[in-house]
Amino acid sequence: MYIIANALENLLRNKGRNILIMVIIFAIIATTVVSLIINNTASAVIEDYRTRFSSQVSITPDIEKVREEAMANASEGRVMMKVPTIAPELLLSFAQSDALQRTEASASLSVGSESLVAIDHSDDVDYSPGGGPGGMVGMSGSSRSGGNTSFSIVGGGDFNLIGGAWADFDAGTRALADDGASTMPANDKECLVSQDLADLNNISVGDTITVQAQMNLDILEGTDMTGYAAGDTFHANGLEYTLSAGMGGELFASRTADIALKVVGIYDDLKEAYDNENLPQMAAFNHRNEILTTLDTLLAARESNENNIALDVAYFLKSPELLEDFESYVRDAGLSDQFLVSTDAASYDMVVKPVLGLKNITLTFMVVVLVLGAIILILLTSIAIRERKYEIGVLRAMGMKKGTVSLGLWAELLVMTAVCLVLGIGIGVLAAQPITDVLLAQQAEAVTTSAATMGPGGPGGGPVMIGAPIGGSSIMTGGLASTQPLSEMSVTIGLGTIAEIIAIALLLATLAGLVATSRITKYEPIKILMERN
Amino acid sequence: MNTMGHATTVLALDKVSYKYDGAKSYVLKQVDASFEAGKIYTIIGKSGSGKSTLLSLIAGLDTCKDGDIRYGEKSLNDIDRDDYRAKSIGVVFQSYNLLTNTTAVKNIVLSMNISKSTLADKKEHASALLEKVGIDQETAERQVLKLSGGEQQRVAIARALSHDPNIVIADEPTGNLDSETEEEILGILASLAHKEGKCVIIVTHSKRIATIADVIYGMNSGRLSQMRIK
Ligand SMILES: Nc1ncnc2c1ncn2[C@@H]1O[C@H](COP(=O)(O)OP(=O)(O)OP(=O)(O)O)[C@@H](O)[C@H]1O
Ligand SMILES: [Mg+2]
Repeated sequence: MYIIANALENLLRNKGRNILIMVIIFAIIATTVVSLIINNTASAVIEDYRTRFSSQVSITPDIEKVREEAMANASEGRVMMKVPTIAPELLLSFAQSDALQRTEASASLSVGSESLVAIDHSDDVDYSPGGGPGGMVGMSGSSRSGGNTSFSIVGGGDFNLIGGAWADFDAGTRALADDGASTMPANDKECLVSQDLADLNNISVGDTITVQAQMNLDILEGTDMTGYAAGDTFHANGLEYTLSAGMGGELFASRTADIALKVVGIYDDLKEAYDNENLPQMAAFNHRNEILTTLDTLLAARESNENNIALDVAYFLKSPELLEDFESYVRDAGLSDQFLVSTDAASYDMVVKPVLGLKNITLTFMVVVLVLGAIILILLTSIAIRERKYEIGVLRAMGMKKGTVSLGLWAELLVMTAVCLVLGIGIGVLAAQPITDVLLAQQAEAVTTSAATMGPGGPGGGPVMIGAPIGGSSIMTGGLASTQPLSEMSVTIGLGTIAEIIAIALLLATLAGLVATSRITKYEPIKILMERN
Repeated sequence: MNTMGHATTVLALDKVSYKYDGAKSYVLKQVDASFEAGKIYTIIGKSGSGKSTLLSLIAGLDTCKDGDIRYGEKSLNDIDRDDYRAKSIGVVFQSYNLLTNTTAVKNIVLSMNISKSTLADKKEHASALLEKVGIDQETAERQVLKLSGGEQQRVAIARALSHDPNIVIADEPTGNLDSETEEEILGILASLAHKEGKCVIIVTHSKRIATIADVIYGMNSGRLSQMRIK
């Protein structure tokens, strides 16, 4: 193809002019590359967050409804706000909804042990026997009493028995010890203990450990408790409970259950022992004291109306639009209207807002650059072609067809575009990350500022409950773990983005070539030649 | 009129009149002529009489709306004039019309490429042609811009012959040449017509050329008349 060879020769022949054109094409391509990379990455991030967060359902108490109920039940002028509870069976039954893609359930129970010593065990910590108010059960509800050094944890123990929580193993922060014997619990009544705990108590794989859980019973409303006093035995579920008195004189029932577990494995833990430095260094907060078992094992330890297993169920919709379907399913299944069923749209908005802003900025920028660039490029090539009118007249006089002349000019533009594509993609990819960082930081700052001025009603100000055991049996599905706006995004260039850039570049070169050649082919060669003579 | 007894008319002009766009008067008026293979024609006439205009019509660079020009059997208006220019006719322009920012050789190779020449070694053919018109190797590889007027004229002649056309037309092809070089060029053109059977049409003021012509036409204010047949 002599046309290609000719185009290449022409490019080298008119270096000055072609470098100018290439600078423009390069600028257009480089900015387009940066814009497209940011834009496509932002789209992916937004889509990811949309499916991840706006598809995770929160079931939270409806404060308004709870208040109404409390007012209605007020007796003797005393308004008792009671946090509504959901039975674990009910929470787990919601998982049957067709609207769900998956459900993640885990549960925890604070337990003590007569045979095991906990890490960071302190005799100053007093796990007072007997039931306390429901809200005080478990570690999260720890309360200080007495002196500064003495803690009293009501109805709990040094250890946390955790069922069905394997996320740390998926994330790689926990792993089975490489001792050749450790396996994950596959059956009921099997468990894992941490390496530290195993060392402290000489536990080996195959041993059986026994822990004691204090199970608290909800005394059903309407139960006739006359004649009962603290210290008495109360019968329910075919078991014996011991009664104790709360602060208001009300009676609580509890029993101590022995749970025997076979150690099938020991885990190495990369997690910090304590979630943060401000936590008191005590056994109950130490992650190394977590005994991991299956969800079924933990739930089996519970009799009906016992309330101190904290169940955390996260529901993930197949798609965010299915929220209504899911809600009607759970209402039918028996969820009281004291609960709200929602996705965390506000937090989602807050998180993706900077990325959305970034996406819009880059998109606008890209359109402006493309339009302006195309105009400049068309002008520049028009001028260049006019300069080359004589050359074109000669070629036409020699019998070269209009189409062939245009093809040659187009080939020149394509070669220049190809060179600029290589340079532009290279430099654009290098520049995309720093540019993203700067722009996204600005956007995140803007969102944070505006959210702050919006006050508690604004995004992120809504009720976000993260699996905290409140009141009765259990609660609840988590909201967003973090409602910080996204301020970091690592950009990558995908094949799709490269294809888009090449298409845009080719289109640009073709457009410029077409506009330019359309002027030239209007002339008859004789006229072009005569103009010069 | 036909001295060889079997000469063929390659080009015929039939009442061709021509007026430039926007001009008031006709530059060519009712021109009749016929050109045969194997002969040299010269057209002489005063400056501005319309000689170059006539050649540009014959070259298929412009279309004539009044009258008809036929190449063989077909009107130039009915054939692909790009193809006609690329293959059938070689033109030496009065102002050469070479690509000035490239070499003489490349000008000629390009012309051969456009005519879809099947020669294996186009560059060698180009060099040989250039040597024939008196351009040495070194000059042939120089940018046309850096050649003298006479050298450029000879490159233009070599280019016109490069694709072996049936018709060669030349507008003042020896205007810039000394009499010795002119003689060589005339020798080439004469042998093209008389040995290779091409139809050669030369516009000239040169008396020397007029003497080698088989047919001489005179152009006078757009009217063409046959002045002498050898
Ligand atoms: N593009 C044009 N538009 C209008 N008039 C033109 C154009 N080109 C040439 N003419 C006129 O047509 C006439 C014939 O021009 P032409 O170039 O054919 O003359 P010529 O015989 O070749 O002269 P010379 O011997 O000087 O080359 C002249 O009067 C010229 O001014
Ligand atoms: Mg002339």
